[in-house]
Amino acid sequence: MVGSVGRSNAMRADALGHVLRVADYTRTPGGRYASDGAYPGQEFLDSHLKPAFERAKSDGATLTVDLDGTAGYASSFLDEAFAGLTRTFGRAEVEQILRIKSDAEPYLHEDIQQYIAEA
Amino acid sequence: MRSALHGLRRTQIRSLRRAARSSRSGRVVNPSTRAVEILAPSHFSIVDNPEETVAYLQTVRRALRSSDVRAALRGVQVVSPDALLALITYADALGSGQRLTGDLPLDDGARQAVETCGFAELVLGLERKGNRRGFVETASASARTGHQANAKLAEELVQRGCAAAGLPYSLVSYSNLIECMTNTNNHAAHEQGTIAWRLMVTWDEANQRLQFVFMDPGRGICRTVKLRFPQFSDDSELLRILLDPSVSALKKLWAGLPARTRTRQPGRGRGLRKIAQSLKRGSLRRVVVIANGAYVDVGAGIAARLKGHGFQGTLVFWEVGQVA
Repeated sequence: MVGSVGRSNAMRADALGHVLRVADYTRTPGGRYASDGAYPGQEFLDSHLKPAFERAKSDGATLTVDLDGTAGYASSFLDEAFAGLTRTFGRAEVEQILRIKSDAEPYLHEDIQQYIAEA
Repeated sequence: MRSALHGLRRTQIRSLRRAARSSRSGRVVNPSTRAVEILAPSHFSIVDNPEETVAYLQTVRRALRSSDVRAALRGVQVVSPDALLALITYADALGSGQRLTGDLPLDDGARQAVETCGFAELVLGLERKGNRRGFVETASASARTGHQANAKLAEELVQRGCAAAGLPYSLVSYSNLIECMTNTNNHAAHEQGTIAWRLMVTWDEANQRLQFVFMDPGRGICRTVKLRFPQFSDDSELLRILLDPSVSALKKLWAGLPARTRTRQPGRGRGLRKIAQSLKRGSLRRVVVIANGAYVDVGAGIAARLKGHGFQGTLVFWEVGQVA
């Protein structure tokens, strides 16, 4: 199961692991592929999430993906990013390394777990 | 005293007599403009009066294939933005030489609702295909059209709508808009074409409702999904399952399909489920989806078949209540 990181643990996560903020990629996440328009999940996966996951893995650390600070998320963006990550690295490794922080929409943690489980 | 038909050609006389017979069903041909006038139902709303309103819209669409049409709204007493958006969308698909005009409701409340959503600018001023206007901005309504998922626009419209309503920013409304835009981009068009979506955000101050309406005049979500899940012949049952976020519904969707087919469907069907989930999570007040032969009001638990030829395209409607 992918861990979640609450607000009080954000600083702790910084100290113990790597943090990737989606808002650093874009404030306005788009659809799944580039053909859907700007800021697709596929681009976020390839240019941000996979490299960050590789770095965390080689450092023996966790990777906390911070979903806060954006305009919102379509399921296609999240599915492409996190199911795509799972198809690359495998469910066991993803669940071991990945953490999700989402204070504005806490239920996204559950959604992402589902995408990983169904990848 | 000369007959009123004096001087007209035989074809014109036949046309007028046909029109006179049709006037019993609300269709009247105005000989001076050659436009067929079609009276809208007094409760002009797809989400609240689906049968009558969808039947009216289908009549307008069919009439537009062969003549100019005047969408007469003067008898409308209750109107919602979804019906107006559908008219605008069909007007936008006109061929050269076709014309859709209309008039405003006589009822004060209905007329105000029509005027404030920009319908007058978009339809009454629209004459030919090359003169499309996709942009409307009023104090309480925004209407746009486009292709693909326009993330910046989605954020802007949600911000504007929530500001007009005095509500916090609605994350789920942004999410829903992106879901709808990408669905249209990927699935609405026939063959290699593209379909433009159209959306409207309105703040109904009288009833204190912030409403989002999204529509595309494409194949309709039921028809496209049935290509992958042919075991469903009933559009309303299929749409109800697509909008059911429970695991059992997803299992029902996949039941009977070979595993090989399932693996080729990464992430299929999540968009509508997420929209429906946001209702159950208390982020939205109402969600209604109409597509092909189906009407589903998620919160009310209503899944109904539309009579006649059904609805052209897909329409998604939601109201913002408690905001995420």
